[in-house]
Amino acid sequence: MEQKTIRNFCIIAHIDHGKSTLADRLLEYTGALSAREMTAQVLDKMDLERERGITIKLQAVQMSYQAKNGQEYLINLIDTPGHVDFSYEVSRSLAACEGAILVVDASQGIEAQTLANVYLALEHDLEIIPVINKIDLPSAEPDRVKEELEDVIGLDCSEAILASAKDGTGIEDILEAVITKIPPPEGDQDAPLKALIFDSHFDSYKGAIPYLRVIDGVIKKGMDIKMMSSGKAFEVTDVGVFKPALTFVEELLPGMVGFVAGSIKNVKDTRVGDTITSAKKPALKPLPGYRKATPMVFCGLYPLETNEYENLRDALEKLQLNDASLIYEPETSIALGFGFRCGFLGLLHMEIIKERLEREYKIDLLITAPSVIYKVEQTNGESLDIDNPTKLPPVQQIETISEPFVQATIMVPTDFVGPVMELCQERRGTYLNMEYLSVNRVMLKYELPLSEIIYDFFDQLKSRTRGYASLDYELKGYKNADLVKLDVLVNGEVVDALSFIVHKESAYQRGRAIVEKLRKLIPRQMFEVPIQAAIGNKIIARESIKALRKSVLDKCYGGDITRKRKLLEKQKEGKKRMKQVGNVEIPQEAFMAVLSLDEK
Amino acid sequence: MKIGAYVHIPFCLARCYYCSFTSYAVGASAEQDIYQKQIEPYLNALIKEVGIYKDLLKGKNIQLKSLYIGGGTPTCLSGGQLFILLDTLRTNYTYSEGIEITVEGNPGTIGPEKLAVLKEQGCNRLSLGVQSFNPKELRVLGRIHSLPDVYNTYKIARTMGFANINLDLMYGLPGQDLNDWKKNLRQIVDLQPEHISLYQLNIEEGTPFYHLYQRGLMEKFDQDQAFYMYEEAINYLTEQGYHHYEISNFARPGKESRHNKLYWQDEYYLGLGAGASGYLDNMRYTNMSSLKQYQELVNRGERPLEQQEKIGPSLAMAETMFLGLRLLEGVDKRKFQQHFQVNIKDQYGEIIENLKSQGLLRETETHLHLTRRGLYIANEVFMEFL
Repeated sequence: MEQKTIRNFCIIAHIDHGKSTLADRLLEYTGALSAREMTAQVLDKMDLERERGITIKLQAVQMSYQAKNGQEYLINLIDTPGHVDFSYEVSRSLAACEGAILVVDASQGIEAQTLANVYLALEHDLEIIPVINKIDLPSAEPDRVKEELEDVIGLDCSEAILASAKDGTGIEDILEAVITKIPPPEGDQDAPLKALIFDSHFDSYKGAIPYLRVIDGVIKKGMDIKMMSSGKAFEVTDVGVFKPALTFVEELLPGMVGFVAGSIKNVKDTRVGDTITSAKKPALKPLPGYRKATPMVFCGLYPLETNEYENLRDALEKLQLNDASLIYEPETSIALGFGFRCGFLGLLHMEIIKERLEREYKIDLLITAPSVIYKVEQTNGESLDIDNPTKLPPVQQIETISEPFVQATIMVPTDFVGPVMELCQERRGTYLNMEYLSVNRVMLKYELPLSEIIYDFFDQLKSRTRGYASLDYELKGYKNADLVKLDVLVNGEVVDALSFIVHKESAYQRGRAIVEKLRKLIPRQMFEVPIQAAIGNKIIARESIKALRKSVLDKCYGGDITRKRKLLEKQKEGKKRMKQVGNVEIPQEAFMAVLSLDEK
Repeated sequence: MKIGAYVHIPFCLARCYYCSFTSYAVGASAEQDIYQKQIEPYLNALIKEVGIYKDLLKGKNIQLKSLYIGGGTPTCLSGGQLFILLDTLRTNYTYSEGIEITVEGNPGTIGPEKLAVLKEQGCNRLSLGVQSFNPKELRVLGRIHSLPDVYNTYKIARTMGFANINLDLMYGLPGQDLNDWKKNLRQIVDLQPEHISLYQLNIEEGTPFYHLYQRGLMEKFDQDQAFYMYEEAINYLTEQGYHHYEISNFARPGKESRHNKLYWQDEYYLGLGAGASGYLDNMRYTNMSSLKQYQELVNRGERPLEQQEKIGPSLAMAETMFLGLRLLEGVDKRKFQQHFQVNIKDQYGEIIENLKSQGLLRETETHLHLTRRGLYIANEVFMEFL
């Protein structure tokens, strides 16, 4: 296969704008998969992805396409995850491509996430092919969307392809555009090997398998390769491509996309963005852009049953094999016992891990509210990184606290500018600017503390804009802030797992909100239970849960004792699923209560 | 051995909005055709089932000390059908001296003719599903009877010599407040029934109320309100000379329901009819609730079981506790020892001490029983023994 007949591209799209369906159609059209072989949407492999309709893990597929000009082309579609948590991964898969298809919903227009990814693609000099999808919908307004693309991104949309992935319209046009508009890969077969890792997975027989795009040189079976970030070397035992099932080949040449196996024991050695080179004839410099994935959101994960601790540790270990961005270390909570403090790329990532632990490993989990990393300068000159609110030193030892903040881009119809601004103000946002995308859509930029975003910001944004707003953000740095730790006392005792860090100005209001919320979430106990919120020794809010008054089954119909017993057993089971903290039984949801304090 | 028998009649004219028990609506105007098409074959099957158990118990010297015909609405049956049912039972089973025979009735479906049949066939206890003395509340519940029906039926029954009548009453109804409830209590006592059953409205799965609840159109009744209503009932009825002998039951001294007590004292009883439950030879069983399946099995000469479960010694002990504690006199410690050959303290010592220290259980020389506080939150006590 000649280099000039290779095309590598990815699809940039907002959630629900039809990326996965389009990918399916392309696979079908090129015969990579027959319609029968496809359970809808092949690229989204995990159950969770399919359920939520989003792509979490990157995948790649090779297709061969017989073009109208008679030439046969080898085209690689590299999928990108569609969520802000994974923007680094997106940037790496873009770096593995020469072009991108920008899919925009014909009735929705461009969204914040898409825009951010388009800019990323432009930074990587990718050729962009605009595709207006879902033109079969009655509400489709392709001309308006084209105009928006031209105004906002400055893309020439005169040749934008009108498509409907659902009914197959425009699929051939897209493939033709891929081969005519996207340039073939450049790269020198004789230069030292440089291959970019854009993803990996863990296979229990073959170990960690990096997915890569060869930039220069050749990678073949039997050669020794080296990871440029760590210097670790491995022998290549297998080379292959995705069709979409893993298929072995002899070698990968410049421009090709595939995988290698080489008894690499740990996915940590196949970091996304790292460069693979030859151990014997290494490249001088790695490819640009590599960085280690940095978790932004932390929370405590505790097994509901203390004897599940070991299982939880094993499960985390296994998940980490496939996901180098997940970090965890043991921690202890006075209230919850032994567990782990885990770091995630973002909230979605956290939720995915949680669901996988519960679904695949069947561990009942208790999760504490997520936190960011706060940087504390102490009066003794030492500095601390705090990923768990309980570790915050006493007030008198703190010189300053700073917190991460982000620049958020929000796109929203003009009608909702008011509510969005209000929300951003409530969350301590600083207004940066506002740009009109079209007559009735604007792009707002705000600077916001990350801690305010990881709670229910996105849900609130959606609900206050009837689902029309889209959000993207990037980390900007740290800033000093007037922050305090808010403790929650249940029955007079501090429950460490409920503590959170909050801005002083909203402490009172959040303190009220949390005790109110806990009063509703914690069921009545045998005795009255006071719930208090405190800053240091000062109680700022109080509620009490009344003692259980009446709990009794009435008469017995037709002598069905078994039914009565089962009801009691169910009630007892429910009690067991709560965490006993002191004398009080606290349900799991209570530990996440702080997440949704602003719900009305 | 003396045991009880429960017979289920799974038909009602219309289903009440709160009811989750096995019952099929037969429709008020369908007096003859459709109505009979369901009831006749059912009754035939029921009679066959009576025979199946007669054979099963043959030679075991079993006597019935209590018979309870419940539903559904047993008085949905015609006078003739009631006659056949009661007659079949009497001729197939041996009744012990002084057997208690209760028939449940809906005040809207029971007239002098049916009452006469019941009386003649030995029914000595009537249980009427009054549920409320407030017409508005009756409508809310979806009851088919009216308040005058209650008074009429009650009066006729008295005239005909029924000397042991139970009335069912519900509390915690949507919109009901403590004053409404007090009024209900006064009205029930005015009638001077021998026995009163009280129960709180629960929103059960599969009922119209449950649908409303799920859609946010109905709320669960406030726990504190329900507590005050229950407390009021206990105080008032006790004051009026009723003996509060079981969590939800009150009786004139000596008129405690024998059938009711046998459930709580772990005794055996037959369960006959679709959806009925029974307890025999350490086995608890429940019959098919589908009429079709029930009839098919019975007509093949088989027991129409939907499920059965062997009650092993430890489960039997747990049952003795959580059922026995429903009675205000509580669990007899010596009987426990005799029955299980285990001292109650050896089995449940820690739990008992714990519950005593929480003020939920009290121990006397002979018994363990719930305290007043324990009565209100009895589930918390019961579940400890499971």
